[in-house]
Amino acid sequence: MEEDRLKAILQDFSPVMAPDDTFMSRLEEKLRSVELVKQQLEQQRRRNRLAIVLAALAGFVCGIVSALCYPRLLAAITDAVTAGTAAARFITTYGSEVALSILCMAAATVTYTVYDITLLLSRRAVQFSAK
Amino acid sequence: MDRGRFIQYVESNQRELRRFLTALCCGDSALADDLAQETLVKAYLACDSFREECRFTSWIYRIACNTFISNRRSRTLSEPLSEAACMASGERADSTFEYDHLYKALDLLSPKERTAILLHYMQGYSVAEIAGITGSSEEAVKQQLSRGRQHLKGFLTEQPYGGR
Repeated sequence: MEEDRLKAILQDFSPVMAPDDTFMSRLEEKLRSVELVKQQLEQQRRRNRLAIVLAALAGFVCGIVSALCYPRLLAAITDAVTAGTAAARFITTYGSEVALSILCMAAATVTYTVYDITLLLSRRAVQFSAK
Repeated sequence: MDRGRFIQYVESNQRELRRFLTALCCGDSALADDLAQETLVKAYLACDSFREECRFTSWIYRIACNTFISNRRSRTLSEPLSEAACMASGERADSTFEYDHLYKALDLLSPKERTAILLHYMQGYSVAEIAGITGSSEEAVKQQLSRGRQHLKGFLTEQPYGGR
């Protein structure tokens, strides 16, 4: 009995509310803003993806170049050892490690630089197209 | 669900959601509208990943309840009623006085009890559905409904004809 009365009261409940049009236009404005933010985030994601792809490509090319350079670098170190300096003697012990470290550092620097430059250029392209 | 269908859904169901939130906010229709907007924006952001379209309405009510609870946490207790008591706007005054007793009675309930009572008696959800919406167990919902009814007993005896 009480439950029925409660149900009747709550189902009859019709408070005065702002007009539907006002509510919907406010909501649509918010949804447009959300859409805009979503688009910008998507653009940013696309730019990041491009930068990552280019950086990976640069890293791959660097890897190949390094692999090709490695014997030459080792040969250069051996030549230095033949010259007989103290530094060269140190290098003799760790020759291949030093050569690999140099090549890794060079590859990392190139990869990061490509990533950075791609991001910078794509940001500039977006700014330019916005103007 | 794409954007067009979402807007279509909102257009036909927003009034029901706002009515529910107005009762949940004890008559503060401005706050209810803000919560409805927040709910629908949250739903819009997540609707791409929502697959079970048959349960879309329950899902919207779940977001609405969570939005209400988190808003309630960040506000001081009983602010809606105290605001309603001292407001001066003609439109708000009419609606508030029309349902003054109902709002006062609902304000006596805890947010969880109020949510369960409104979902069950106003929106017609079953106990199991309310449990799904509020994230409580069915036992807990039954208890909330029973306690809510107890708290509303006084209000119901003052309303012999089931009217306003």
